[in-house]
Amino acid sequence: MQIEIPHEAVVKYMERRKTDVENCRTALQSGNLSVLETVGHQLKGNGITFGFPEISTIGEALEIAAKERNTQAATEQVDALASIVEKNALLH
Amino acid sequence: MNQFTHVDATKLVLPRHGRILIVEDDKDLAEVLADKFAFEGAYVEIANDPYEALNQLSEHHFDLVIMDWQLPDMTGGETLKQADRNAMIDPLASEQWTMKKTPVVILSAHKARECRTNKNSTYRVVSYVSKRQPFANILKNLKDIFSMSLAPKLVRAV
Repeated sequence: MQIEIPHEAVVKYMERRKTDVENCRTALQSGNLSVLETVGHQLKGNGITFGFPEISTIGEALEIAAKERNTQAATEQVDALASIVEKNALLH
Repeated sequence: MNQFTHVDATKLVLPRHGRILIVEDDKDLAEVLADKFAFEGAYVEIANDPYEALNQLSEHHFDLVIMDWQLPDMTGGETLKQADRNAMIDPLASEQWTMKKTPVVILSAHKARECRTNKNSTYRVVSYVSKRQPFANILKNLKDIFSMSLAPKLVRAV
């Protein structure tokens, strides 16, 4: 039997990712990279779980970029996350 | 007066359903896991930070603790260490009434070797489950561990 995550949980997951994008952009403006590190770490863990392996990949890269204080790389990852969130908003 | 008058009923184990504490700051994962276990009859509590976890652990006995490693302010290992200290100084802590350590499974995106814990009198890390896998695999692993944790417990005679 395939155990799936309920559709409502996936919708809620994407809504929280939208909030993550907003929080990350705010954090980038203020230079608070610890926020991005935390978000990246969470995405690294939960992307695959919720059926979005690309989000896990972004999360890992975001975490590394934040640790290295590479704001350009971090911005790219946040933009990539925003694209995925927008794409999924259209689907749901 | 009978032998049970001093026992706090809220700290008794309910073996039929089992009681789980999910310590996880990722609310998406915590909620979906809680829903799945609750659907199967378990009593589930969620703690989104170590302080809430410590409160829960001092107030209730759990058949299984699912512990994230990277939490706000302290790691899962540090949380367990503090919970152990708390249990040692509280004579009415629920863990004092069982002869068996509470099993803990570490659920983390970190590698297993990064999630080592020290010796603990009250909690025993029985397994590590990686978050970086499909939900079905995570849930199956956790359910298997939970089933094993629901063995009958010895209660100290009074």
